[in-house]
Formats: sequence, structure tokens, C-alpha cells
Amino acid sequence: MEVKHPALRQPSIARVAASYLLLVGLPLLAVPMIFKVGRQLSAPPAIGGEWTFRLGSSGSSAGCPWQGVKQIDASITQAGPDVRITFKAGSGPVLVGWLWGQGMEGHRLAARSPTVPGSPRIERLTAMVQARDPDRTMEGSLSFAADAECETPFSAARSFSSQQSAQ
Amino acid sequence: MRDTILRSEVFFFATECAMMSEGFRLLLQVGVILMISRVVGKLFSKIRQPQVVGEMVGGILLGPSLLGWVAPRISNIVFPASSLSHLQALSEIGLVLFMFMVGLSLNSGEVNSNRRAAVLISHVSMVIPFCAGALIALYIYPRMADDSYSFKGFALFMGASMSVTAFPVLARILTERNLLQSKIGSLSIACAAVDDVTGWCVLAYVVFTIRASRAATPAYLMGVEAVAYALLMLFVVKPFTCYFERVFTANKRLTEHAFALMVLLLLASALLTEWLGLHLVFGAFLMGAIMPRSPEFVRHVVEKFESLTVVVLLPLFFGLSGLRTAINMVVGQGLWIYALIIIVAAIASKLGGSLIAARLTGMAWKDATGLGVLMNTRGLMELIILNVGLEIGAIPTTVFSIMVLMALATTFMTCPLLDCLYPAGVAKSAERELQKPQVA
Repeated sequence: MEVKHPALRQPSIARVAASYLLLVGLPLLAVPMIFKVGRQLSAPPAIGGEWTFRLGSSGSSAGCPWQGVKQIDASITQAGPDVRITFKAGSGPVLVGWLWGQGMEGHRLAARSPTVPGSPRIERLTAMVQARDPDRTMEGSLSFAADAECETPFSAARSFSSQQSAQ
Repeated sequence: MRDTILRSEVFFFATECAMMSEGFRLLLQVGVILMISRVVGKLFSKIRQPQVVGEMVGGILLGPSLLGWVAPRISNIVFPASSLSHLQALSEIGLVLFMFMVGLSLNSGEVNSNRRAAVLISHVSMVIPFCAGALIALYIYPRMADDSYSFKGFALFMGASMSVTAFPVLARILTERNLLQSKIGSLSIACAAVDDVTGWCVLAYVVFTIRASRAATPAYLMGVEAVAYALLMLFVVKPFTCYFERVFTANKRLTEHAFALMVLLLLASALLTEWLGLHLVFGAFLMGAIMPRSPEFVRHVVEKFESLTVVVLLPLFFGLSGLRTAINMVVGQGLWIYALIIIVAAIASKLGGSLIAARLTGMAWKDATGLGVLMNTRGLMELIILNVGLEIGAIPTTVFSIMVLMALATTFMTCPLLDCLYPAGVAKSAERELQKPQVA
């Protein structure tokens, strides 16, 4: 008399083959199509990392913040088109922004705005990103609160990318 | 007054730590990681979760998700970015040893008795999540990546990381719940074993594809080198490994000389795959896979490596992964919705795919669901794949963090769902039933 272990009953070869074709073969056929569609997609320019901002002469008003300041460092973190810019000056004004094409716009993050008197309140940043691999540069302007005349042009260059630090 | 004292204490601690030598800081880091991972692991085992889940969570708590957020100065003192390379080196040694043990523990006998069902279920449980990952990549690539990541590499890695099953964690869960000898236990172990081999082959191809697209060496040449390496391992090194079994049989243990030689071969294999443009985990895995298979020998070698690897070195790997995981970045930037999409898709594709395949092989609904739950366990293997992806620049840090959350969620849910499907008493009586010979 044969002793069977019910745990080890095997499905028929035909059933397995049909299931394999349906559940493995068909999805695998879809993979090249997914990659073909994906080749048409574009991602925002990579600007995450450590940046150095070189400031131009700011506006016509003598009381413009950062008057006389030539260079400021900043850290940019990025998730797709969403960016966060933290300036390493004073109490570190923080801007949140977004990328569209090669352009970037950022505005003050109210919760992290410095309230220390005399510390600059950056309201807005607009820039165009130049994507020259591997270097990235930006040119644009910073607008400060309280004085519409104080629009400070800047040019920025990336010294260290966030991908390099992750690796 | 209190604030002044506290600030001065922190300042004093900071000054002392700033004067630490690198060796001192590394020892401090190792001590902190081991302590936290043991404590959190113990807490998780109290709620019937595998220790490894607690260790993974402990690593995350030490990173920017908690310590770096609550006490950034202390985090910067204990884990400054400049010192992490030493920790990474140690954790990679642990990873190499662990992957060697994984390769060593592969047992084709587990597959033989359930071959047809295991291959079908395993491959379905990989292909469907892989496609789900690639489809999700279409949606999240323009939203979470940037142009330093190619879509192909991004989608391949999303697919690979969605399709993996954590064989060691699964085996541990089955053992703890007394399900290892049950029908579902033996089949899920067989499926996970097939998953492991297939998964590492797929991952090797993915890594090779990504690195080849950036390397100066032509891709075909890299392919030839990889094939030459595989042939060297199978036809030169594998026959040589019989020496270790002969030494073990003659001496009832591995001599120190033989053990040292084994470690040297392991390191050489890992270094070779790293040099070839794959990753060192593949060399370590293959070295383990080609070792002799006698149960006593395997058990002896695993015992030699296990304590140091599992207790000391692997938690460092979890710690390093945690230091790279920034959940606050996910929440703070409103990326939680993408996290939810990824977690739901990962569960649906893996659990659902395994369930459907198991039903097609004739399994009952309850057992098919249980198998799907087990195959959905991603745990440590997911972390390994994600770290490889981050290191080779296939995925950005935000995606890494979300996928770590996914790994945690899918591993964490395994035990409670299994307990619902197989309360301990039912498992024991089912086992006794299976052990009775059934006469045809």
C-alpha cells in the first residue's frame, strides 16, 4: 500500500504551463512597453547639494539686507520638482520652491522664518538652472521683505551634489 | 540657570567628542548601534515580531528620522557624516559574511519535493510585483527623481525591490510559529529559495545594466568578464571547496588554516564581483552557494560565522541604513501619498500574485492566503537591495526612505496576519495530522 503525504501533491504539468504563460509570460511582455513609455519621461534638473551664492549689488536702497555681502553658502534638498533651500547665514532663512523646466521659484517658509531683528527675510527667489554636466549653475534674483527696491541678483554654483554624499 | 548648565554640559560633551580619535568614535558608534538594536529588537520580540524587525526600526531611530530630528547636535557628534565611511566599511564586511551564509544555506532539496508549484508561485510572485514597480516608476519618476537618475535604472530598481522576499526572516518566522514542517511552511520555504536564486540573478543583471551604461568599459566586455568569473567559480573554485569538507570530515571541525583559507576565498570572490562592476554581495552569495552541501558541514560553518555576523555586524548594516533613511523628509515634503501608493502596490502585487498562483496549483484559500502573506515578507533582503541601489545611484534618498518604510510595513504585517490565519493551537494539530501516514 502506498503512503501519500497530502502536503506534497503536485499540480499537473499542463496546468502549471498554462498558469506560467498567463501569469509570467504576459506580464513580462508588458515590461518592454513600460520602458518604451518611460524613455519619453523627463525628470527635473538635479540641484540637490551644497551651493555657493555670489551676490551682485542689491537695488538702489542703501538699507538693503546683505548689502556688502559677496558670498553666501546654502544647502538645497530636492525631491523631484520640490526643493528646499536653507541659507547658511544668520539664522538660516529657509525657502521652499519648485522646479519647472529649467526655471525655479522659491518663497519663504513661514514656520522657519527668522525673527531675529536684523536678520534678512528673503521673500522670494527666482532662478534659471544651467545644466552643464557635471557642474550645475544658477542665475536669478532674491527679493527681501519690507523693501521692494531690494532685489539682489545672484549667480550660484554647486560645490557638492547630494548624490555624491549619499554614495 | 538650568538651561545654562544644560548648554554647558552639551558644550563640554561636544568639545570632548570633537577631540575623539576616529577609532574611539567608531567604537562609540558600534556600541550605540548594538545597544539600541538589542533593546528595540527585544521590545519587538515581546509583540511577537522577529528580532530583525526591531533591529531595522532601531537603525531608523538613530538616523535623521528621530535622533537627527530631535537632537541634531548629539546626532552630529556621535554620527558625523565624515565618520560614516568607517561604519560603512564594517557593515559591508557584515553584509559579505551574511550573504555567504545565505548562499551556504540554500538547499535544493527544499525545492525538489515541491518543484512545480514552487517554481510557478515563486516566479509569479516576482514578475507581477516587478511589473507593478516598473508601472509605479512611470508615475513617480518625474515626481521624485531628477535628471541624474535614468528612468531605466530607476524602474529596474523599483521593480527589483518590489519583487524580493526575505528568505532568512521567513524561515525564522516559520520556525517560531511551528509552521516549518507544515504544508504551507515547506512550500513557502521552497518558493523563497527559488525567489532568492532568481532574485539575485535579476538584481545582478539590473546592477550590471546600470553600471555598464556609465562605465568606460563596453558593456559586452563587462558581460564577458562576468561570465568568465561565473565559469571560474563553477569549474575551478567549486571543485576546490571539497577540500574544506575533507578537512572537516577528518578533524570533525574546520581547522584554523582551512577557515582562514575559506574567508580569503570569500573576500576574493566579493572583491572580484565589485571590481567587475557588479556588487560585492553577489560574490559573497555565489561563494556560499558553491560550498559543499552536507548538513553537518553547513551547520558547522554557519555556526562559526553566525554570532559575529548576526549579533555584531548585521546591526551595523541596519544602523547605516537607518542613518540614510529620512522619514521626516518624506512627511515634511508631503510625499506620504507616494509612500502609501508604493506600500499598497507592493502588498497587492506580491501577496495577490502569490495567492493567485497558489490557488492555480490547487491550494485551499486559507493556505494560499497564508503563502501570500509569507512571500510578502521583504525585511532584510529589501534593505540590502535598497542600499545597493542607493550606492550605485539608481534611486534617490527620498525613494530609498519610502522603500525602507515599505520593507518595514510588509515585514511587520506578516506575523499578525499569520496569527489570524494560523493560531498556534491549530498549527500544532495540523502538524500532528500531517505527520500521520495517509494510506492511498
